[in-house]
Parts: sequence; C-alpha cells; structure tokens
Amino acid sequence: MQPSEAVVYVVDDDHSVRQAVCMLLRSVGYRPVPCATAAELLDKLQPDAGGCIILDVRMPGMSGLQLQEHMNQRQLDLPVIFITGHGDVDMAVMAMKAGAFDFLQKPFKDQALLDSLERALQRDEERRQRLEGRRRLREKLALLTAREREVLNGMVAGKANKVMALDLGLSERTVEAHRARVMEKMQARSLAELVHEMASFDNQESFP
Amino acid sequence: MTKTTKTRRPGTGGLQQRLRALEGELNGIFTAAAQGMIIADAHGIIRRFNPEAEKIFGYRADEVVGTSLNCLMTDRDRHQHDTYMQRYLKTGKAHIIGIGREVYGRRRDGTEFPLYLAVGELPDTGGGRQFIGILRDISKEKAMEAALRVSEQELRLMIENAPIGVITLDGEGHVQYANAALLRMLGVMVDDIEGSSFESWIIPDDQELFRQFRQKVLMHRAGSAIELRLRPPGGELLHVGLHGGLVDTPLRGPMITAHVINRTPQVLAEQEASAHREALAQVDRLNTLGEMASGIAHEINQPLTAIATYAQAIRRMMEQLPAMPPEMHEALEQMSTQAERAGEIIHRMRGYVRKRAIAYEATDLNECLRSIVKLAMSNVRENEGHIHLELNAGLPRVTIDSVQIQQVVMNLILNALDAMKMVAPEHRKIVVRTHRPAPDCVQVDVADRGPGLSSSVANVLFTPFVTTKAGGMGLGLPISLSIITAHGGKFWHAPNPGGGMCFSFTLPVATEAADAAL
Repeated sequence: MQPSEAVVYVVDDDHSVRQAVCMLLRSVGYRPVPCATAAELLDKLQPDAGGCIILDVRMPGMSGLQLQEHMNQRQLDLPVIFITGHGDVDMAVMAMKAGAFDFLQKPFKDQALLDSLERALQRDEERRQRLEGRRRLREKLALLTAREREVLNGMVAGKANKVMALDLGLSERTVEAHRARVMEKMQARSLAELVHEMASFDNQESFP
Repeated sequence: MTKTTKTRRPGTGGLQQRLRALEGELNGIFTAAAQGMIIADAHGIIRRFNPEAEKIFGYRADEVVGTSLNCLMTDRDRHQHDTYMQRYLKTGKAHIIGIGREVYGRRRDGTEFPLYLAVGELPDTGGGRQFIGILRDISKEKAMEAALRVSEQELRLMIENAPIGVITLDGEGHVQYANAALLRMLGVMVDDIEGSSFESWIIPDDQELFRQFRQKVLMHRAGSAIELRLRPPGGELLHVGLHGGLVDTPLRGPMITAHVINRTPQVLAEQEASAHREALAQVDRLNTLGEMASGIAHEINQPLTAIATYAQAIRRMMEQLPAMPPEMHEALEQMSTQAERAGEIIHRMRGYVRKRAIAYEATDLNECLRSIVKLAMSNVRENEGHIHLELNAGLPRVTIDSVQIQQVVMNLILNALDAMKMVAPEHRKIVVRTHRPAPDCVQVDVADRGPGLSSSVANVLFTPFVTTKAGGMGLGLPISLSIITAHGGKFWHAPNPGGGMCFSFTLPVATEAADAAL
C-alpha cells in the first residue's frame, strides 16, 4: 500500500498538536484524518479501510486507553500508536498489553513517528491481506458442492484417489473428475498451493 | 431560794429551816434536771424517780418507787447489777460509782436502749445506804454515731472502689492514700506506694510540671489539672490526667487530694491517628508534587510537540521545493531539536519527582477503609455529614499500597462532604461500599447525596489544575486516578441513584484468589 492510500487518524485534544502532526503526515504523502476526541474518531472510523491511529493517551472524556479497550471489544483492529506527554513505564506497559502497536513520548522525533507509522501500516496491510485472502477462500469454498468439499478434505489430508474412492464409495474416475473441478474452482495451480492456502487459514478459522 | 440560805446565819433554830430549804432546793433540782435521776437503796429498791427518768423509762414514779431496779434493766445487766452491788457492799470497790459508763436500760414497753449512767452513793442519813443514779438516754447519739460510721464506711468504700484512681498527698508530696483503681493502674501493692514521694513515679520530663501543679494547689489553694506520664517500676509508660485540689485536715494539715484517670489508650490512639495523618499528609505532598510535575509536563509537552512537529513538517515540505537555503534547513532542524531537548528536561524532572516508594502489601481492604473513615470522621463535625460503611465481609485480600488507597478514599470523602455543603444537614450522608463485581477485582464506591455534577464539570474532572473549589489545586482526582491506574484498577464516576454522585474504583485481586473464586 502506498502512503497516499493509507488513512491515518490523528486523535489529540490539542488543536496545535493535531494540526502539526497532520501537516507532517501530509508532507510525506499520507492522508491524515484529524479527530479532537475519541468519540469523533469512532464516528469517522472506517474499519474496513486500511490505516492506523495515532492516539493521545490523555484526553478529556474517553481516554486513549479506554478508547483502545473499546476498539478491542468491537474488534476494530487498526494498529494504534500512542503518543503521550507523560511516558510512564506503567502506562506504556498497560498500553502495549492492551495491544498498542507503539508508544511514543512527546515531543517525538519526526522520523521516529514516521518509522513507527510505516511499520504499523505494513502490519495493517498484512492483516488486511490475510482478511482478504480469507474472504476469497471463503468465496471459493462456497462454490464447491458437498461432494467436492469431501474430496477437497481428502486431498488436503494427503489421501490418494484410490483411498478416497473407497472412503466415499465412488469410482476412481469420478474422484479424479471431482478433483479436477476442485482445482479449477479453487484456482489452484498445484496441490501444494492448495494445501498451503487451506493450512494458512486453518488455525484461524474453522470452515463449514 | 439560794439568796435566803446564803443571807441567813447558821443557828439552831435556823438549821431546821435551812435543812428544809436545802431539801426544797434538792427537790427542785431533782424535778427540773434534764437528766434522769433514780435513788435506790442497797437492796436495789427504788426510792425516788424523777420526771426525766419517767420520760426515759415510760414509768410513772408511783409505779416504780418501792419496787426493784430490776424492771429498768436488761436481763444481762440485771444479773451484773446484783453482782456489782454485792461486791461493792462487801469490798467498797466501785466499778461504776463516780465513773459513769454506757449500759442498756429497758423501757416500760420492753424496748431496750443505750443509756449513760453515773452512780454515786449518798451520805447515810439514817435511812440506810442510798445510791443515786444519774442517767441519760443516748440512743439518739448512738444512732447518729452508727449512721455516721456507716456513711463514713460507705464513702471509704466508694472511694476505694471508684473506677478512677484517687490519691491523697501530704504537704510534702508523699502519698498518704491510694485507692484500688490507682494501685491496679500502676500495677503495685499499697505498701509500694503509700509513704513514697509521688514525684518518684513521674518520668523526669514531667516532674517539673508536677512541682508547678503542687505549688499552684498549695499556694493559691486552687484546684488544677495536669497531664502526666507515670512510669511504674517494670511497667509500661502511663499517660494520666490528674485533677486535684486542696483539703485542710485538722490532724495532718493541708493535703492534696486528686483523681487520676488513665488516658493511655486514648493518647496512644491519638498518637497513632496523628502518625497516620502525618503519613497520609506526606504521601499527599509527594503525590501532589508528582501530579503537578506530571500535569506541567503534559501541558508544556503539548506546545513543544506542536513546535517540533510544525518545524519538521515545514522542513520536509521545503525539501521538496527546488532550492532550499541550507541555513533555513539547519534552523528548522534546530527548532525541533531544541523543542525535543526541552521535552527531555521535563521528562527528567518528572522522573525525579515520581520516584516515590510504593509499598505493595497484601491488605484487608475493609480494614484499610474502616481506619481511614475513622480518621476522616475524627476531623468532621457532627452536622457536616455521616459516613455509612457497607463493607462486604467476604472480600479477598488485595495487593495494594494501603496509604495510597486511603488517600484516594479520603480525597473522595472530602469531595463528597464539600459537595453536600448546600444540602440540608440531615441528608448529608456518604456511603462507602465494597463489593466484588467480578472474580478478578474488588470495587469501592463512595456515594454522596450532593447536587451531582453538570456534564461540563464531569468532562474536565480528571484534568489537572482544573478545580471548582476556591483554593483547590485541581489535583485530587487526577492523583486518585494515577494511584488507581498504577494499581491496575479502573476509576470512574456515575450519578448516584436517588441523587448525588458515586465515584467508584476497582482493584485487581491476586490471581490465585480469583482462580479460587472461579
């Protein structure tokens, strides 16, 4: 993802800090979205689009930490970079435990923020790709018939056609035909690729 | 009558006359005497019985004259009377004659009574030996004496068994009397203290105070009170209140009598409370300093961040322009560097102030709250508010710095009291409640019946240096929040159902306890 595509939410109750950070981000090609409060962020947030949140810990109303908790509960998984005027070790530990991506003490070096932001967006991109992959896999799986799904499971389990034919009470030829359709519908170029695609999501989601 | 006898010269003819006159005088005395007079012969037969004797015994003279004295006596005396009389008649040795003694008489109605009796022998004028008994009913005196004795005894018992110490000192300050309570207080026996100098029981630092007290009482004859510390041999230090005055005694001159109250438990409790207060105040000062530094750091870091970031943004934008003068680049670079440097200084200062010892210990939270509420109430006047404790007895121990948590609760109580100043005194009620909303935490609520908070105040409640109180620093709640956050707890507020505000915080329960609850 290019910087210009990423949405970076800048949440700080201090107008000048907000404006300065947004200006810095624009200067290197990001598209910052300034937010004065946690509520404003929740209002503007587009959870499905990629991006990152730069969040002040201490704000009136909902604090940064509370906001992060809120987002965790609602499974809004955008990476959060905390910026804080008081770099308590305790607070940093708590923020990191709660899933913060990074914790920067104000005033920070521009490069430190930009480096952190780059890494955060990279991680978000990976996350989004994983999500996208999972979505596409689910779409492809939805195209399979029940029989084809059984054959797929056998293929992933490493079973030979002969064994599957026996298991499913089919002829070996029929199994071969199903197998070809599975490869076609799953857009897999090789059995190895198919097994890899299935395995990488197995531990995250059970398929119907 | 006496005039006549004195002016007449004695002569034969006058003698008769004089005797008659004398008899008349004696009769007069006999009749008018305020003392009972009875004349009896050697056989104990009553010859004469005067009106006072009639009054005393309840007999008329004509009833008893010619009868035996026995009817006037108790059975015991009657027997002795015979013995005495026979002995006297035989030996001439009198036991009662001319001496007087207390004996018992018997009235006509049979009642016995004490009487004072003197007996004398009258000169024998031919009618045989005669004796005169002069007697007085002393039953009233006796009764009074007995009553006096009883009341004296009661008084002594009361003093001896009084629940406070009582002590009597002579003019030199020696102990003349110490009652049981005082002996118990000092843990000594009566012989250990009576006769000793009271000063020797007082610790050296307080002896001068006691000398001034004695002088004041003795010289100015004024009652006075002092606080003293006593040190009985081998015993604990005692704090006593001694309130004494002067008593002039006929035998032993001016004496000081005083009551002594053991104030040791109260004094120790006060000392403990004051140490507690001091510890809280110390933590309060450190927390305030820390929070101030933190607040200042935050406030200054915001503009510093803005300055540094603006400079960096401009530098990056200008770098994209065709020609950027190197000096300008350098200046913008320096701007952000210097802002960061200022930030560093603030962080260092803050880190220095923040270094305070936090003493985490497994603590009974209810006990911790009881003790702070007690301390809070000791500073609160009756009509300022009441605190009701609703403590859940089944709470697990929590690992906390109890002084810090107490500071949070104290702060919430003081806020609640302030909030209720505008409320009628009978409604000024604070509830301090503990419960366990989830296995992994315990919760403390401090709820008041004040007017509640407007949303504009509620929004800035935890912002340092923002206060609604005249003379307030605006740090109480930010400090409380910092403390609870440092303990891994949450801190929030909500309207109190039925009016007022309720501030709540949670404290995490140690994992084993939480697991055990599951």
